[in-house]
Amino acid sequence: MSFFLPPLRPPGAVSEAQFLQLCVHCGQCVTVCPHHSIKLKTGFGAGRQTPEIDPHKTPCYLCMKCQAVCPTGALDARVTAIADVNMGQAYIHTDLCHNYNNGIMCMTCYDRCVLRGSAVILEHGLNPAMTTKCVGCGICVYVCPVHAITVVPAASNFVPPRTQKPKPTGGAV
Amino acid sequence: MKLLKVVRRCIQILVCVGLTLLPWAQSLGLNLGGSFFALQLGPIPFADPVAALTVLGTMQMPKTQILLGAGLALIIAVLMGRIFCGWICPYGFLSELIHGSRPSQAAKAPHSFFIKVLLLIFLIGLWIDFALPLINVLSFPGELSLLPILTYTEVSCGVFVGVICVPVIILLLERICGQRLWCKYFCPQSVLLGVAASLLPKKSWGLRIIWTPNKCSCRDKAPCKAACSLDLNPKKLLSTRRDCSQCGDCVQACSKHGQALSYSFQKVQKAQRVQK
Repeated sequence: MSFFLPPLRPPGAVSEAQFLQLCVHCGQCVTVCPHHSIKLKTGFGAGRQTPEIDPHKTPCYLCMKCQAVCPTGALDARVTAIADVNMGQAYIHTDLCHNYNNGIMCMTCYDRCVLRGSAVILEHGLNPAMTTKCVGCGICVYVCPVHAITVVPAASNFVPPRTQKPKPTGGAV
Repeated sequence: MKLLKVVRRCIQILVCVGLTLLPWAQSLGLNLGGSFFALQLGPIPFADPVAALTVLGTMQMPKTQILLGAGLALIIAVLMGRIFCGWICPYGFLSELIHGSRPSQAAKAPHSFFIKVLLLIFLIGLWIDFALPLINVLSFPGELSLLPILTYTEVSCGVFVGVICVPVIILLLERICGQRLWCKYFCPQSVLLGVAASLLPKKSWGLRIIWTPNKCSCRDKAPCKAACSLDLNPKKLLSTRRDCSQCGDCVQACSKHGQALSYSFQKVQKAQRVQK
């Protein structure tokens, strides 16, 4: 994760300010995660020992187990559908992506996306593009062979460039 | 009666071992997990009342689970006294071991509940007003119980050192001055548990250490007083239930003399009558 971005919270996290007040650093979401995606944040700031996900190491596979165990509601247990998760927004650095540059038909992010067809679409049937349906799980960040994808956490004010509105028809998942 | 201390040490070690295995137990699919900030043991939630208080202090309404857990911890404190401090708390365990290995008898020093309350208010204020998480750094039982979770997530050595450095420094200070500094003067957790422990009316049932005057045979030597690592007077434990960690060292010391001190679940007067 970039030093300047806020942490990527587990699925179901309430707004960042509220999250910091509600989280008691008990670590239950960390140990319930079957993929070891959630880690406790290091350092001595306000977010010390709060859960975060580093998609470069292990992304969130959206198994939706962590919200249920959170004792304080910092992770909202009412969020159960994958499409309702709002962890962040992925975007593609088109200057690095194979498909946009050298014609290699990579498609790895499209193939591996949990919300394939709605969160990632193929522009002109060729170039992968993220839509606003993206939930920010970071699987594409993890699988991209040229590190051309970044997830902007939901708490960030930064609006990712080239994020497309999803097509009204959606797509096959 | 040496048995009492052996049983207590076994429970303290079992708690540490159990906490260490908790992340792996949860990864096997058991409904166990968390740390002393908030703990889930099957269907039963436990929580640090101070953690619940910090959440409520920020005017957020948490899920009922943590409130139930904190309530349960406080109810246990009312009925059993600060049994958490003497039998469960990992920092209390380490502090007792350090205290037991001190070179010479240090001078007895009185408790200060007032400093604890001031510190707790100051720390919660820091968190609410400035979002400084010092309250978590100084919640030793919670912090130490995070160590297995940090090990589970394979953090770097530096993070590990960052978590244990404050408790280790305090333990070193306790070794130097021969006092259980943290438990006596600073521990934020003991404030709410202590207040809950002092709420038990004399006429109700609950775990107490009862002193029966006419059995007391040691005159002025008071081995019970010498045995108390928190420097309390066990003969007045009814009035100092707030500060007592129910460790039973005084009961054990007294068992070699007149056996005037004993644990009792009964109402105060009834218990003393039975003793006579």
